[in-house]
Amino acid sequence: MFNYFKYMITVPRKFILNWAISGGVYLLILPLAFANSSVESLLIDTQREAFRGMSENDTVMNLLGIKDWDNVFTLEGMVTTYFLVPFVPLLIGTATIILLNKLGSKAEEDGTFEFVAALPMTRTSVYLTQSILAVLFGLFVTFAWTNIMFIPIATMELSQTLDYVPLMKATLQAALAGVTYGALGFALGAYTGKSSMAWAFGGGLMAFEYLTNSLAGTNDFFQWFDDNLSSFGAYGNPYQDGLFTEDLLLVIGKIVIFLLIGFIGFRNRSLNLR
Amino acid sequence: MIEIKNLTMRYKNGKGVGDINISVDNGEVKGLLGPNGAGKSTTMRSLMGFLIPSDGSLTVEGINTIENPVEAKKIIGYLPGDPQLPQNLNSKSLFKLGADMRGQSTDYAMELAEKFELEINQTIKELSKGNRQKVALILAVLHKPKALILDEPTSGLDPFHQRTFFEIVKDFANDGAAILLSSHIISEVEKVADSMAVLREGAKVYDETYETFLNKAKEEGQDLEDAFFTFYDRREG
Repeated sequence: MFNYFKYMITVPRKFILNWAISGGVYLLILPLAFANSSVESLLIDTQREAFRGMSENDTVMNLLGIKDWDNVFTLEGMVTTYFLVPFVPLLIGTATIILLNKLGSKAEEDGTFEFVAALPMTRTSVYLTQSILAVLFGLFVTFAWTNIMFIPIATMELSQTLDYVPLMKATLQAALAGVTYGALGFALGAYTGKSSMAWAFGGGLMAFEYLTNSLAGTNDFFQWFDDNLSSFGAYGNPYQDGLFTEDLLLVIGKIVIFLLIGFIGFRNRSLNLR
Repeated sequence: MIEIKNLTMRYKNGKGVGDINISVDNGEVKGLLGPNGAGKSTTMRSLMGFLIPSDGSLTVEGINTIENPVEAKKIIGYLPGDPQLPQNLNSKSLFKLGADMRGQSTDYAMELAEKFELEINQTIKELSKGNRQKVALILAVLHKPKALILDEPTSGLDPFHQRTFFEIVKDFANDGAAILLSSHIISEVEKVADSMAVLREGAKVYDETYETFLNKAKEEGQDLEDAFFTFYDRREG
């Protein structure tokens, strides 16, 4: 299993590193905007004034995950609302589906999986190793982003700052939300052997939960779904309020259930080799 | 020994193979012949446990390949009909990964790479089709398996390296390995096989020693290729 895991991180190593590093470097813009008063004034204050009209449009605010307009243009607001929700779950869900498709259902379709299938491993070992990678990849990339982003916060004189531990708590909750969609996509790809199913189900649930989260206030069902089942809804505000066991259990429970569904299908089917 | 008993495996479109019985003794090389779509790859993939058959028993050295895939794959070397390998790795890393995953050293892989004149530091995407085939062949045999399942193994190989490949197959047979080798070209099978089984539209239509088929061809005054096509036409009729 260890050698197969090594194979799985060796083959797509550029993909994994690109996602982890380039995303983190790009996001340095958030803390660096608070490094200098003139930059801060240019980037933050002018943007705040330019977009102030948006604050009157609840739908747009919801779609962008903005709950509190006054907090949006603070470092904390940008990172813990704008960035960690909704963008991290959307990006991590998408990246996890791409990666696990490369190693799973897409690899079956293009034939590269035949090399792996000929190795002395049970289907259970193959699936378990892929599942571990799906979860670790989502966590690794998200923590890489927030840790790279934290470098200037820890080392430079910024007008605003963030605390490390609460930021990591918020990172964990956001990453697990993304992993739920990646896990569903991977699981349905494994269940059927078709990469299109990974996108249909993983991407489909992600889109549905994003919309229910954005439109929760407009519809009782969406509100109920967001409160009780949505991974976006489970995010809350971990930076200020900390992690809640029920929120963590919801996303971890979803991940486990999705992975079990995939395992049931993968264990008993013919491979979808071309 | 490779034993396929009453193998039936149907795809959703109804194609596949039905009631196939083939056995390959230790030290024997059996050619599995048939045109495209005859069921050669389906038979081999079922034997490897990639496809789940609806009926039949598949064993290698007495180990059921469906019920005990780990033990079976430890002693099987498998070459896919259209080997696809990770494009961004070089052959050396692939041999290392393949050997590590089987708990083996890469010594034999390196020896074969030298025989095949393979540039092991080039990535797979930089290699020609023939060289990719060599990499896949080496990956299939680097653990010195007791049974070889080779799906169209000489595809893309030049005549010089085909000869090297046949020498390797003969060495394995001399060491007691059971070898099932598919092809749609009888002259290729002729070079190495002791016996041949022929599939047609998912059913086995012939299974004899190569010598028997050759003698029959001579009696009818035909060369091997003509005899094979005549045989096939008769079956179609």
